[in-house]
Amino acid sequence: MLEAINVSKAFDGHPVIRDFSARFAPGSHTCLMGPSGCGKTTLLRLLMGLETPDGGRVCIPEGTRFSAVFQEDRLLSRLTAAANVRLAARVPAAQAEECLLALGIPSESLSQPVSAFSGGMKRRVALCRALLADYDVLTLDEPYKGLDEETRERVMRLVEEHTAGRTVILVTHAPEEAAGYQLIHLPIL
Amino acid sequence: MPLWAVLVWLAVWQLAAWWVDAPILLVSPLTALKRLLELAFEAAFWRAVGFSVGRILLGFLLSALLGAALAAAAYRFRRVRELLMPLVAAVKAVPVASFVILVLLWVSSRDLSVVISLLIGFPVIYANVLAGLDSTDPRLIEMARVFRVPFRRQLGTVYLSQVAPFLRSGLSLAIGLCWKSGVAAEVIGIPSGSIGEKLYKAKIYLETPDLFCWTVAVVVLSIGCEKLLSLLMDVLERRACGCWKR
Repeated sequence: MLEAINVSKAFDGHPVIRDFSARFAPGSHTCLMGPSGCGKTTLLRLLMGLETPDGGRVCIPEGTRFSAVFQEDRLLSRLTAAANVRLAARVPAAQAEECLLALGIPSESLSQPVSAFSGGMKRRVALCRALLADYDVLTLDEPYKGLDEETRERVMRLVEEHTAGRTVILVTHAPEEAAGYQLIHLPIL
Repeated sequence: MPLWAVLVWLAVWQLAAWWVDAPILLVSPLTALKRLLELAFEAAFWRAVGFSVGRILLGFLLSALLGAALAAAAYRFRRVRELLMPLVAAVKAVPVASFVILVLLWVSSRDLSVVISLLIGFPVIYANVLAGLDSTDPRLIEMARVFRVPFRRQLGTVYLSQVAPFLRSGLSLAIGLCWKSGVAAEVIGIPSGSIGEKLYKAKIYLETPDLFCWTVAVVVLSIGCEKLLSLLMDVLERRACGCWKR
């Protein structure tokens, strides 16, 4: 089981996380909440093994496969949406396009490179990539950033369907996005 | 390159030739073209072109392979980068003439242009490919790592998309330099049957039309190689991206 034990992390001598402990049971949905700068993104990175803690330890079970919506979209601008999805997810093009359409990407945009997309469209491509990739743990760092109310509702429903029974760690500021998630509040240090 | 600008400069050349009125000093473009057409019907002309094109392009190809391979190693290993720093700086700074004289001690004059093109092209391609690799977005590399994207696919997408503009400009610059230095080496080494030898003989016998004609031939070959290279890069980039278009 993915677990953080007394994890601490500081940047340039400034502590961001201190003595954080939590267990993320398989199939659990956990939401990390807290004010800006409290270390939510840093904690996600520590849990994925992308940062090394200064103190404590993160136990990542052998062979754990992560999937992620990062803080930034991290798309290859010259590739199409489906090509970006299929770079990470081993799915047929038709399945990638079906998911993109379900997330509200217009069909006429599917042949364009993502550099031509709006911020909200790029976010949904990043989300599609994360949902279709093989994973044991899915981390979502403010995945609904830049989406209007109606699109956000639709996308949240799709995420709920895709992630039922799977381990998800969500970072968000909005309480309505955390419905159904076990909350962990992080204090600002 | 706009055609009107080329025509303007050809007209300036023609006017200058009329004004100088001494073909031994400056031949007109029409005279050079006439001589080029005459030479184009001689087998020796094409043999000289084949001799120089083959060797200079071989040197360029070797410089591209060596430059790209060592840039990849320097990007991956800090010690390799440090080790290569003085070597690349020295190769960049040494005059072509010094290289030619040094290389002639080791290599026959027939193969001189291969080695000189390699030495002149290498630092340009190395520096450009390394700059491209250094500019690769580390967040994209991290994304590829998290999603366990196989290295070969990373190479064709994440890295190529970032390195391609640098590689293109490096290759374009290097091929022009390879032509300049390769022909200069042939003029000094005078290998029999090369463009450099023809230029040298034109100078010795004061055959100015031949000198201009061979110079025009080198310019045309150099620009032609650059255009072909650009087309090749387009095809390679399209193929690399095309694998992942959908």
